[in-house]
Amino acid sequence: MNRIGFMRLIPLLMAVVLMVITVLLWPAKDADAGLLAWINVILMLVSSLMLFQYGIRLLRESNEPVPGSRLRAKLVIGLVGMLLVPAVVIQLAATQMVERGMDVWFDVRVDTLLDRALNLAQGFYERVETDMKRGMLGYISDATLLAAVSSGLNYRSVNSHLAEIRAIEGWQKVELFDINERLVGGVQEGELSALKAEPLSDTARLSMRLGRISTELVTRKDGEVAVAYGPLIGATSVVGLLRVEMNLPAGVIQNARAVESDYRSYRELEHNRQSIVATFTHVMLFVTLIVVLIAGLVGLLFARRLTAPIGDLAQALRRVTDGDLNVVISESSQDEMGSLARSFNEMANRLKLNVEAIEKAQKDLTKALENSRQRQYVLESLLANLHTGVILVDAEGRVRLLNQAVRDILHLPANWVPSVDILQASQGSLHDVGDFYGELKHQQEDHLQREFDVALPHGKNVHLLARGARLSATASTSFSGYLLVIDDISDLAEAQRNKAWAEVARRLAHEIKNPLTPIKLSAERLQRRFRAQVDDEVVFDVCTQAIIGQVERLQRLIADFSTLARMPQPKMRDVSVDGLLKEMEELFNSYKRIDVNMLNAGWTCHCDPDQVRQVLINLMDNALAATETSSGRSVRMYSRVSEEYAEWHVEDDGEGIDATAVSQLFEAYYSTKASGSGLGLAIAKRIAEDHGGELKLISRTKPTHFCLRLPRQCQLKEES
Amino acid sequence: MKHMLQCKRLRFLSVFAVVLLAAQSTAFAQTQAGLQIRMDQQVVYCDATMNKDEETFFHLLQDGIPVTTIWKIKVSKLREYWLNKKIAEIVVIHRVVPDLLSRSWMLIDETSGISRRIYSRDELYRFLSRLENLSVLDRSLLLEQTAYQMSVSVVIEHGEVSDAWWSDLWTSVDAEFVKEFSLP
Repeated sequence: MNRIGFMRLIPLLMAVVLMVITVLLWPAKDADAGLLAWINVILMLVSSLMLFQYGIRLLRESNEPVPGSRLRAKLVIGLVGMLLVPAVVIQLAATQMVERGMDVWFDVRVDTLLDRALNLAQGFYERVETDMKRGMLGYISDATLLAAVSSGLNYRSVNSHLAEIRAIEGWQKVELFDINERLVGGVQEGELSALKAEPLSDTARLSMRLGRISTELVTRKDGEVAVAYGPLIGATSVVGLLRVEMNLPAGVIQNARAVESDYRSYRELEHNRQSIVATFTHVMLFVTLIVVLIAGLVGLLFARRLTAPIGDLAQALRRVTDGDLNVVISESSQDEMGSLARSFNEMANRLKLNVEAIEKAQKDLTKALENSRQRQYVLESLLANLHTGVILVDAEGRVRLLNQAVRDILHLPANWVPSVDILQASQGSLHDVGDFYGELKHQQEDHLQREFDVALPHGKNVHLLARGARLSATASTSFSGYLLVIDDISDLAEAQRNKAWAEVARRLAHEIKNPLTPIKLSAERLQRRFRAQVDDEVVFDVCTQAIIGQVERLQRLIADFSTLARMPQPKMRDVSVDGLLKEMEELFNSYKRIDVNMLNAGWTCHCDPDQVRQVLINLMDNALAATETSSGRSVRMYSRVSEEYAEWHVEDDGEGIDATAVSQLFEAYYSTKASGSGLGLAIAKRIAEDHGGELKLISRTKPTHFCLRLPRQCQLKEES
Repeated sequence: MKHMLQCKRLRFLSVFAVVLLAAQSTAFAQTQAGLQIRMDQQVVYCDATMNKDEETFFHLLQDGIPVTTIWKIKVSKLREYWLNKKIAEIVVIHRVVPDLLSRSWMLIDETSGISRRIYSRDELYRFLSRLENLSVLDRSLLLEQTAYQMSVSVVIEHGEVSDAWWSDLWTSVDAEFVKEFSLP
């Protein structure tokens, strides 16, 4: 059992001990202490029951008790205990002293002494009675007295005789009664006290009846009197009664009565000896109980006064623990408790201010974090929607950030995670980016810009513009590393290339176009005027025709250049998809190897029919050129229409296109034909793009398959 | 809360009262009743005898200590569902004061004030331990066909009898007789 558990049992143990003491001191039926014993029992019962109740309450308390109650109980128990121990010791000592005192007071010598004193007093009385009885014996047969009561002497004679007897015996009073208790005569010392004689007492009558001398003691106002009765015995029976009185000496009587009184008091005390001890014990116990109870009450008041501030403090601390900082306790007292209360209030106030400051800081931080999150969200959204690839690399070379555009540009695998060293990850498509990072890291300058081509999987190449910057740690951020920004400028480069070529074409066309017409006209004039004058007409015709033919070829070439350089704005209108196919069928009607398959569903497409027709003618020309040696339906043309797109497909079973030529197939001035300008597919692709669609090579061989795909409700592509 | 506290205190006091009453019950022991009730045409009498040994009185008297027997006679009307109704109550005090010098005893009837000196132990014992032919109440105070109860309690005192009012608060009854009766 731990110490706290034992402390809880103390009131119960005290109650049990007090109950046992109560049972031991329970008054018997004929208890000597009487009321006091029962009062003590009641007090002890009340105390033990109160302790018992308090003990049970302590045991049943499962939660934390009222602050200060335990301390108050300890103080009260301590105070009562401090008082109880000396009180019990004093009680035991006093009881022992009383026991010893009783032995001394009721000593056997005192007892013997009082017995002897009483015997002396009794002896005096016995002697008086004996003397009176002896004196009376001489007169019970006195003839004069007998004659007086029987025959009737005169009163004077009788009194005279009685006076003689009184004088002889020294009695104070002598009276003579006949058998009928009638006073016959009487004398007394001094004056008569009463004219009428006192009636005979029971003792006198008994004496007369029994014929026996008897005495008795009579107490009167003037003292005690010994009275003797002597029956006068006649011839056969008692005929009268002689009553004599003798006053006992006052001094002797007083002393004898004092002895009797003392003897009686002593014996009474002796009889009450146990009662005296019990009374003393119970008085002491009563005083002890009262003192203990008063001490307990005073201790309780004192402890309550002392522990009340502690209780308030504990209660306030509990409230502070629960988070309530608006706690103020009383600082009324000027002692240490008051100082403690002031310190506590000051502490609580500071704590409250600190908590308010912390809450404000937390609110600011939350707001800043929210702003930061918003900024981060905006940045992430920006980076996610940005077509420019952004890579953030820390000082250790680990990729900390990489947006979706990088993945799209470099065709990174979906499972690739950016938290790796960029040099280790610089394999494949990232190899050139890694080289760029290495150059940026090792150079002195903080910025670097490079353009390079990156070979992607599946044989594709992209032209990248990479810019890098070194990020140094600043006062606001401790991050340092490198920021790499990459742009896919393939389209831009191509556009620039196209623009350059267009400019070249425009200037060449301008320079070449002017002399071509005079040359052609001159060649035709020479043919007309000098054909007849030449010797060899055939050679002449061949030469002039060659001049004219090459000039026309140059004119077409210049026309293509002009077209590429300045493509006309499409004139959009709804055109029948099958109508364009039908036009192609009619246009190329002379070629038997063409198979045109129409849907006849009435689908339309919003486009410029002239430009679309030009694209289809270009595709058909290429297909026919590739299948000049083929037989059968080696060129197929058909359409596919959905809700959103219209597609024109051209397939041929020719030799196909080299894999190396595929990437440059739609570039201007790239041609696999000796007589081709290399502008046909470039123009066709541009027309498709101007319509918001695309021209794709579906398969490069067996069959060689091109597809023109235009949106059915296309919007004009803005001039970039 | 205060009400609860009062309830707890009441409960505590009730427990305490039960304990005290149980204790008190052991303090009263009835002795064999020696009560006779007689009546004539006008008066109801009682004779009561206390079964006490002679030595109970004489070992005190021979040491000169006065002995007093206080007889309290009470007549009540029996009631079934309520406390009995008291009809009459009289107190008879017999006191014996020994005279050690003359070896006699003074018998004093404190109620009537009559006293007499005796020299016989038998008479003394009878005086202290008996009530003989004591007139208790007038018969006219009683109803016919009604049950009554006469109770006699005796307290033996020795030494001086205190006249203080509190001396009656805590007296132990030495003998008690109870008898029911009704008019014939």
